[in-house]
Amino acid sequence: MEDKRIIDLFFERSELALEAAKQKYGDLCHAVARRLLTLPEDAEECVSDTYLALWNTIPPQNPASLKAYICRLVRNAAVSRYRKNTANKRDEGITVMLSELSECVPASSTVEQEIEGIQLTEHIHNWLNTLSKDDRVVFVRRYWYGYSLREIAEQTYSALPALTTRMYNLRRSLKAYLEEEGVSI
Amino acid sequence: MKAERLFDAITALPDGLVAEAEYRKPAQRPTLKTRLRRRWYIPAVAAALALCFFLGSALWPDGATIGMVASAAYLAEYPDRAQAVSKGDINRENKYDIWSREQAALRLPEDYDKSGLNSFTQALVQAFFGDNQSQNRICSPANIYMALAMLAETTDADSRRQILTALGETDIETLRSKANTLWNNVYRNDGNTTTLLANSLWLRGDDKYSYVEQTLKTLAENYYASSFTGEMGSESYNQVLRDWMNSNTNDLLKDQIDGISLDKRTVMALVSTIYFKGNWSNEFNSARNTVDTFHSVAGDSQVTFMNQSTRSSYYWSDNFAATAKSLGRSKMWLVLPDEGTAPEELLQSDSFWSMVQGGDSVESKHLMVDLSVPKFDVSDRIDLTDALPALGITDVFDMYASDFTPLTTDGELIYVSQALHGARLKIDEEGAEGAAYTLIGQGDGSSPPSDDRVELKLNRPFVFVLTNTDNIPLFVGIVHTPQ
Repeated sequence: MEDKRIIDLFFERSELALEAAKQKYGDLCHAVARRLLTLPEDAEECVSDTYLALWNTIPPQNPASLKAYICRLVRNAAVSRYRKNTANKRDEGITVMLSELSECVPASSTVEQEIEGIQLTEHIHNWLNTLSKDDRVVFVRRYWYGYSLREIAEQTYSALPALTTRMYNLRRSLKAYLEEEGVSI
Repeated sequence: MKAERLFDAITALPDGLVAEAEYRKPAQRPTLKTRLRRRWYIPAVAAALALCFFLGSALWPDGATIGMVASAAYLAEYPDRAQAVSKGDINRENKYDIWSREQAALRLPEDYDKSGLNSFTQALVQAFFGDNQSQNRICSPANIYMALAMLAETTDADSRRQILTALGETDIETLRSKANTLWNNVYRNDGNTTTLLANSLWLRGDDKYSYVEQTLKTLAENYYASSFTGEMGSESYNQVLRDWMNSNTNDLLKDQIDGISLDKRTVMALVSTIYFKGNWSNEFNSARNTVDTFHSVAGDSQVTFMNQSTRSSYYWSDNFAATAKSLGRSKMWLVLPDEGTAPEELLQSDSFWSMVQGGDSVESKHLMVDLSVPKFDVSDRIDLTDALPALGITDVFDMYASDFTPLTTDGELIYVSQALHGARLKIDEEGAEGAAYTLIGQGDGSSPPSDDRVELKLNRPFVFVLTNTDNIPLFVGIVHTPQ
């Protein structure tokens, strides 16, 4: 079923909407959730939370890309679950990712001015646009889709050590960019 | 945890980027991967500028009057643009997606050849600023480029050829297409960044001249120029013109514009304006301002310096040091010449131009920069009838050599009787209302910084360049006297 039709069904409050979304994007939701959360049951709950959020947010939301929208909800649900689980540190996928992302946190500037989330997104978006398409893609695969470095190495026919170095340089580049833009987070 | 904020921010990246990175099993192994690194920044600052070409006639009009003050012969329709998200917006993600897709679409295409614009900018600034070493100078290369492109549309034969050559093009169709792309690239009115361009033609509303409709249409469709007619030389028509100019420059050039008038012999006035306003991505804290000495040719003066310490890129070459400060999607280069080098000399330097036009020919290092820059407010008024002949544009000023047949075939001896360019830029802690910013300086500008921290104090004459996302030079200037 076309995305537009699925969204129309959500607007009509038809339960067929959820079924259609699950059928079309269920595998993708599970894959993203499993990459972020270690325990299968956590991933399952995360996907359930996603469907609930989908039902509750469309309408009023009317996403241009249903696929991206659902994946965003998965990420949001996964990070919420991660926060609950933080005490026992069991979510290796997201823990590793956050640990890597902490390398991108800019050093504090003298003028402390914490920016809004949407502005931070804009800065990251601008930075991504400074990159080659290859670099942009590997970064987004790693930190948006949550693919492991090994998976990305296979997808891009790269040697794992080279990709690891490349990722390290990308994180340093993002950090430098955010600092240059005077971003405090 | 701060990394979680990054995670959340990445989650909100626009659909286009997410779709681009989606993994699909390829049919076969890719053979070649090209990598192109391109840096772009976010700007914020404000400034304004106006440019006018007044076409005069050697023949006096018959004095006919018309009842209306001004009427529109052609009204240009501006393109609809998406608005940037702001606090409290409903449906922010969708809105951001739409806006960000549009921003990407408005970038200059990879194959856009900027060499003509770049060489024109260098020649223009060198001709305008000359070797005067005591006055503040400012001009807008992008604005003059646009006005000259429009002038080329109204001319033919050698008159047109000379303009095309100065702009680095060989035919009017290419120039038209590139000017249109440039207009759309520079124009921003999305509630986030403000770079307003406005073009207009002011025509005589009597029976003496009729104008070629196709040319007016071309100017409206490609340059977003509206055409007006009225009683040339009348105070009421002059007032409408001045109001239009003040309105499109947000009164920033009011002092200059209020002195402008068209006389009865004017056949057409071509007016092009640019207005820029934005905020520093990282504003200055006024509590850190200091009053200190600025050393200029005219003598020392006490001025207010804005101070900031941030990790930034510091650039240096054989005769200057520089930094760039973001203004949203634009940036301001602040370039401090070494002791003994006049700012005007920098404008002859290839490494300077390469740096500000997006090249990477100079050394740079990312480090903690203690920036100290004076608040400034510079304005300038340039008579283009003096400066353009230096760029090889001569025939349009010569009533016996000029050819304005694409505009009108009714009159003879039509020529450019006035050509004015005015510009102003001012900066403060917020960056808004005509702001330019410069960071550079430091005792020994030509040397690499010795450690991870450097002081850049702009306490002697310096150069600023305000560019947009694609390194289009919106304003170039020299500050000899900050306030």
